[in-house]
Amino acid sequence: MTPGRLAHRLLGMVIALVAVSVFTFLALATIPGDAASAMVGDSASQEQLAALRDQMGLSASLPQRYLTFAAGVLHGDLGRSLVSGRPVSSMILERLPYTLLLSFSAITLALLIGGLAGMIAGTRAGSALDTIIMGGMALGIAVPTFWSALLLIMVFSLKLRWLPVVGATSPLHLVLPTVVLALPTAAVLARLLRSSLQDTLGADYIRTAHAKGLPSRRVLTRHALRNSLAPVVAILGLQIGHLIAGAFVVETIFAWPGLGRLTVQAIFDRDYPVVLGTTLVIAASFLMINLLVDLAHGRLDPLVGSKSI
Amino acid sequence: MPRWILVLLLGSALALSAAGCAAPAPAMPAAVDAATVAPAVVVDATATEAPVTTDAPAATEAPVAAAEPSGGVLVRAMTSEPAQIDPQGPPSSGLSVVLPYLFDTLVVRDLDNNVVPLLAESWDEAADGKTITIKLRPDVKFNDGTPLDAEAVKFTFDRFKESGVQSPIYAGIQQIAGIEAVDDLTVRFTFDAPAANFWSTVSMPYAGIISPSSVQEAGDVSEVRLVGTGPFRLGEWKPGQSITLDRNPDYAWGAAVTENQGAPYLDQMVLKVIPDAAAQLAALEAGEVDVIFVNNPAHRDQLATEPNIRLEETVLNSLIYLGFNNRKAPYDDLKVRQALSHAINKDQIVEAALGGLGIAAFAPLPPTLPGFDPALKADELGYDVEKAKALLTEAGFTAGGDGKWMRDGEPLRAVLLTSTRPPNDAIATVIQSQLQEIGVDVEIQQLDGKAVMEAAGGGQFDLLLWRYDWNDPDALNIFLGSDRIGSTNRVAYSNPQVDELLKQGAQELDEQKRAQIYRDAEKLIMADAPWQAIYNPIDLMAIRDNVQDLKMGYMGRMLVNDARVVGQ
Repeated sequence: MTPGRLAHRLLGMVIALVAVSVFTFLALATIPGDAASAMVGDSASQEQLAALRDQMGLSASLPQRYLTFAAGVLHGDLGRSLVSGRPVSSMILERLPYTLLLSFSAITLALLIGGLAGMIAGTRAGSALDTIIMGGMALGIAVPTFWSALLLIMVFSLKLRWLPVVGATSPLHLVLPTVVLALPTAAVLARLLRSSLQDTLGADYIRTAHAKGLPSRRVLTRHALRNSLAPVVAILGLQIGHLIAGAFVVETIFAWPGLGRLTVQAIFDRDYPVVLGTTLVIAASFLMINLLVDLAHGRLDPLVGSKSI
Repeated sequence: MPRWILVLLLGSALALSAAGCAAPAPAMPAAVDAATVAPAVVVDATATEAPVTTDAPAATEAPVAAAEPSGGVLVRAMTSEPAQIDPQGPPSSGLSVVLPYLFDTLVVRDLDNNVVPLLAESWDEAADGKTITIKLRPDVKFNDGTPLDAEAVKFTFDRFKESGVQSPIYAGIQQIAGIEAVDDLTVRFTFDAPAANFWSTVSMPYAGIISPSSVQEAGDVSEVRLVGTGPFRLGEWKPGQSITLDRNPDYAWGAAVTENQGAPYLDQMVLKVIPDAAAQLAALEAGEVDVIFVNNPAHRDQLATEPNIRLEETVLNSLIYLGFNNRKAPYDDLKVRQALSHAINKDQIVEAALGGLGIAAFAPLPPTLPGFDPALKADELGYDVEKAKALLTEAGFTAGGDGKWMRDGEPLRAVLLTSTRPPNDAIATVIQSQLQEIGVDVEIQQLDGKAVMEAAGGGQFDLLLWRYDWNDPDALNIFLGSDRIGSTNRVAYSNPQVDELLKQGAQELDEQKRAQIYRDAEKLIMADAPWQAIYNPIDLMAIRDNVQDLKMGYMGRMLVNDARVVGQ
């Protein structure tokens, strides 16, 4: 990617982030109830509610409130939680490492399972093994996250007693959330790699490679796999979005102290600085990862690298 | 931050950078570093003792307080964590769980609704009801070492009146006209009018007495760590994970609601944040937590078959009701409200939707509050389908061939508003089918709790399935008084005669007379049918058998002073 194109891409990311913040802001303004009404008890009168709204800066007009928030962000200040009064940035920093760790491990596991399953199934298309693997992967996509989570808890925590149920106090606690989060992504990757491999393996240059007398393993790794990976990498960036959505559910079930749970609670509390802060961080990481994926994609597929970015 | 998180994070970042993609990797570890250094884990700021911080689960730790009898570590699941620990701050379920262990109130109530002394040793009420003089217990110390005195009590309530607008008991606090520290251990409260609900107000955990020095030292609002005189001290707080409370070894002023009124036997209490009810259940079964609260009948049935878990229940001071929009046609018509009330089969709701986790209600007040009277059952608009249909005919409706009711060309159809919180969905569905039985179509509208309150406050509903929780019969004024229309009187009920009685009740200090006033008010309310009382909920506590002598207190509070955890 040339520096000019990269700058272009980065500008696009900034615009996307502005759009995300505006839409989140509007969405929060549209849902009924605000932080003040969410906060006051049953005995509060209308006057008390109004006083609290003033105190929280909720009585200002929408554009005014957005501009205040945006000005803060430009100065590196995400504001303070309306509920706890703590700086949003420190609330996010507390949770970010947990979310990063869970996403990293889930992506890694998804790539491992998806890659392995896709490769085995792709090279043995039509075999019984292929049918079994692809059946399992279809299940992985179809089963809702909360259900697979409870099922795994039942088997591995309650019956076998191998793994803890909830919390984040040891590496063992990471296992179940990672598996649950990785499964759907792994399934998508496996199916994609399988069909992509099948296409590649039928290509002329593969036959040539075989004809040259190259060992099958070498043909697969050096020639077929590399060319089959491009579509898989392309979809990986988009799968990150699904992963983030899945993390909201997985973090809640396993009581994992990540950003997803912070966001969900903040939505219930109508704590809009926190929701905006976490949304911006999540959106920025999503855009960043997609940029990286596109860069990697460009290396795998020179056509993409030179033209479409 | 636990070290293993850091190690795994750096490890995975390295693995990623080693994996190939040359450009991306360096950006990530840098970001991780910044993230791991910045968040100082929030621990108590009392500085009276070094905070105990280890990465191991609390349950495996050696007892903290040396040379004390070890009662073990009790782990309780908590659905959400408080945003901050300020008794006078915005309420949340997490806050009310934590408060009673950290902050003592002037008085508490026992299970029979009696006022029991805690920080207040004795008190004297003037004959006109406008002055209450309280003698404080001597030798009580806050957890920051400062003594509890009259100035601290005055400080607490002054602060409350000034900045406690978010608190659910703010209206009660506002009735206090003046607070005076007469001497070191004597406080005098004065009122413009007699305040019969004063003891109810000050027995709520939100009215916990705060150490003035902890407020003054706090400085930045975001790191406020307020200190009380409670049986526990705030220990390590891991955001999103757990709050650890350490035993207060100097505690010697417990209320007479538990046998042990000295320091708790437990070394620590860990409140573990587990948002999902099914995960809480699994954590209890796996032994990761010792206590959970259950409100799902299926979970109750599953636990009943577990050999190592026992269940304890208590009836809450709460009422779940089906409210009618008293200002909107046709529900402004008494006969229509009566008709729909007669269509509700409460026993069926309690059985089908709650699996028995509630008792069918008939009066506007729960049986646990003064003013409730079993005799009011006679005034109930009980389940009677024929009567319901007859009343609709009297109200001018005619039944069409399909059994649907019409009046002036308008069909009788209702929107039932409720929250998404279980078991509301199940109850709403049962009500829908019961009203269907008399020929009324119901559309269920489920929103999240805050949205329901907003919509209900604006009168955007026909039927409202909602609840109230209150520890004083003044609840009737809050939820049915005319001056609360537009805020907490969501059904917009208005009856001047009832208003007058509720005003008298709020000022009547004689308990017998006060109860009679509320009985009279309830009779009038039941005749007006502003809502149909459905049930009083039962709170269920599931406890692992290695926990001994854990009790259920007033309003479902967990009493831990007698408890020990054995075999850890």
